[in-house]
Amino acid sequence: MIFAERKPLEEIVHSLNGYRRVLLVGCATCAAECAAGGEREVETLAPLLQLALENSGRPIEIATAMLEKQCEWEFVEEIAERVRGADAVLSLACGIGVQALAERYADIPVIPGVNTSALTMREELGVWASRCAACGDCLVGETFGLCPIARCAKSLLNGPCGGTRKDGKCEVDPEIDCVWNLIVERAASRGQLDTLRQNRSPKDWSNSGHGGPKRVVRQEMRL
Amino acid sequence: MKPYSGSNLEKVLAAGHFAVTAEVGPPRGPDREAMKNKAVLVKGIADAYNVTDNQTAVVRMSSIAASKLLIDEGLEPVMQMVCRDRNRIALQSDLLGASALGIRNCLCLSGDHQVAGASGKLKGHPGAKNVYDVDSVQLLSILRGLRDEGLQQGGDSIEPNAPLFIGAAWTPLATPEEFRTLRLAKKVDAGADFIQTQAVYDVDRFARAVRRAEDMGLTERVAVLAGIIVPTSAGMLRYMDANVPGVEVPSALIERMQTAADRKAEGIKIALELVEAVRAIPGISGVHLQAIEAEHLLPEVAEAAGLLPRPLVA
Amino acid sequence: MTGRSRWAVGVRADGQREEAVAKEGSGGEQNRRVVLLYCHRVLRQGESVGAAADSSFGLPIQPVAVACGSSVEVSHILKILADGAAAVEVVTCADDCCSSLLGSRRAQRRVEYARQLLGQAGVDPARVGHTLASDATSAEVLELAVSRAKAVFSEMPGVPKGEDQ
Repeated sequence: MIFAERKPLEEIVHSLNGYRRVLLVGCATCAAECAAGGEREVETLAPLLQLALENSGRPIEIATAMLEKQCEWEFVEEIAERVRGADAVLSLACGIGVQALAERYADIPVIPGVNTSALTMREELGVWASRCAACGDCLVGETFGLCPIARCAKSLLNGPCGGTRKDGKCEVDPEIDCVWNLIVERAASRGQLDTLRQNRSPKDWSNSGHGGPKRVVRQEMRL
Repeated sequence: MKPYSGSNLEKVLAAGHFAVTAEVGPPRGPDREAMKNKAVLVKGIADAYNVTDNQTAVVRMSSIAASKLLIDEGLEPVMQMVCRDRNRIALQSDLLGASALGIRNCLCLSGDHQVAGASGKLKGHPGAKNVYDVDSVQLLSILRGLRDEGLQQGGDSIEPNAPLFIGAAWTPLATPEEFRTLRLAKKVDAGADFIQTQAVYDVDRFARAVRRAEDMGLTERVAVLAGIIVPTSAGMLRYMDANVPGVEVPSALIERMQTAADRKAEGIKIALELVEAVRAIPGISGVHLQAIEAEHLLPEVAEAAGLLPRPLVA
Repeated sequence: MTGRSRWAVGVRADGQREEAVAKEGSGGEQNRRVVLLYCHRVLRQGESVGAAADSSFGLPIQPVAVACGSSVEVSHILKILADGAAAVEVVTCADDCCSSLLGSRRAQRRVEYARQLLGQAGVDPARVGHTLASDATSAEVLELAVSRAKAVFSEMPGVPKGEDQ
């Protein structure tokens, strides 16, 4: 899912400076799945902000709302009335949702409450890890089902580099596996280690964000 | 038949000599004198001198500029080039510039991730956006294209071809060890002419790795220079053994440094033994000498190892 | 979609909390209590916990029985504090007695997390605590709330470190 984490509390408190009635809006899809902006997090953050702001001597009223997704106009529309009563909206959705709210409710400040940072899978309860880098040219079939663009710190296509730790972890972060070590292991287990000798050419990044902001139109789907 | 690059290192190797390279780290500032002083310290002890490229992601004088300063002092540089900071456009552009300035050797590396720059007392730039547009293997191919075909990676031509002697690194003992020979093969296939290895301390294990490379026919196609880092303390050896991937230090060596009456002398002695030992390994064509923050030790080591004077090959 | 309004708690310019301004809930000084969230299974057979009129600091204890330690959410704890409670004590079953096996451990994790969040908000983390208990009497359980109050008030500036009144 799109992965996000709540911004540091001081940062959120600072960004609410001067506002007196804030609508805190969560998202029940990705943000909820990564425990950053779902109902539970909304219901936790509201009293927490209340307590934090009490400490700084600023009166504030925090109302809460949940949307199924903040990236679909039909759901965004549902809070139109509630937004009218607020002088700012604090959104716990990913950057896409925050912008959708900002676009629909253009007269009022929409503040992000989370930092969107990766495309992840929940490996187990409480653990999320990067899986995809949206490179626009998926080659996971050639690397035994493991993506080196997202999971190698250097996005090597001809890895591993000389920095793999003895225990098979990445030199950049001892918590993450060297994905090339995993690729080699998998190749070896299938008796296909030799296929990794084939050198991979430089990647064409033009279909990723590097090629520029995307706008994709599917004419057959338009009315 | 590869076109001759004009590199002294290439000539020395081609003539069948046991080659020596040494490392010179650029200063953390625009001080030409500092670079000059380093050059003076090591002049004459090697056939070519590696100039690092923002090593460990710490900003230093660029390797292309520092390499040119070495040329001005009469030393031949091996310009190191990492993939972390520049995309294929900048890398190729710098290679054309380097070639124009007379730089003939280039060592292609992936490069340490920028988090490495923020360590110890240094703040570095851990928040920088990294590049890694291409990896070291791809960079090797790019260099070969510029030299042999006169073509850029994207297909446009250059005029004339860029004369280069192409180098790569090898860490034969890093995990997964069973793949490291294949990875060397990849680099040789991609265009490497010479290899510098990670520091050797466990000679037997290293020799076995070189043997595997020999079995694959790689040592015939590429000149392998064994990395030698002069030990300065037991602590340093312990640190490297624990923290530097691919560096395996036998406890006997750590013990020797620990109990030595004269650490400097013992470190040099160990370095000499290592040079001697790797020289005896079939498939090893030279050594790459380094002394961390202690370049002044290198002339003594080179002398005592019988590596001086360096051959002058026409 | 659910929508809920929240309370407004006024704060005067000098930083003093003005609970009388609270629009919802009981408001004012009545909110200044120690809330005891206890899993009903920590109690000995036949025991039941009534409200205790005082703790050593003149604060009422509000006991709230929950079906299982795991039903205590971080948001519950924080809402109770935001509503004006001085402290929250969570009591759940000792590890080998927890009938849902992990309920107690979940409660412990959540209290730890709540304390962490409070710290980030500049609020004394000691205002929430967790204790394991089993086969407890009503008095023993209430005493835990009293201890929690003591832990809080010995930290608060300007309030004399309390003994029994």
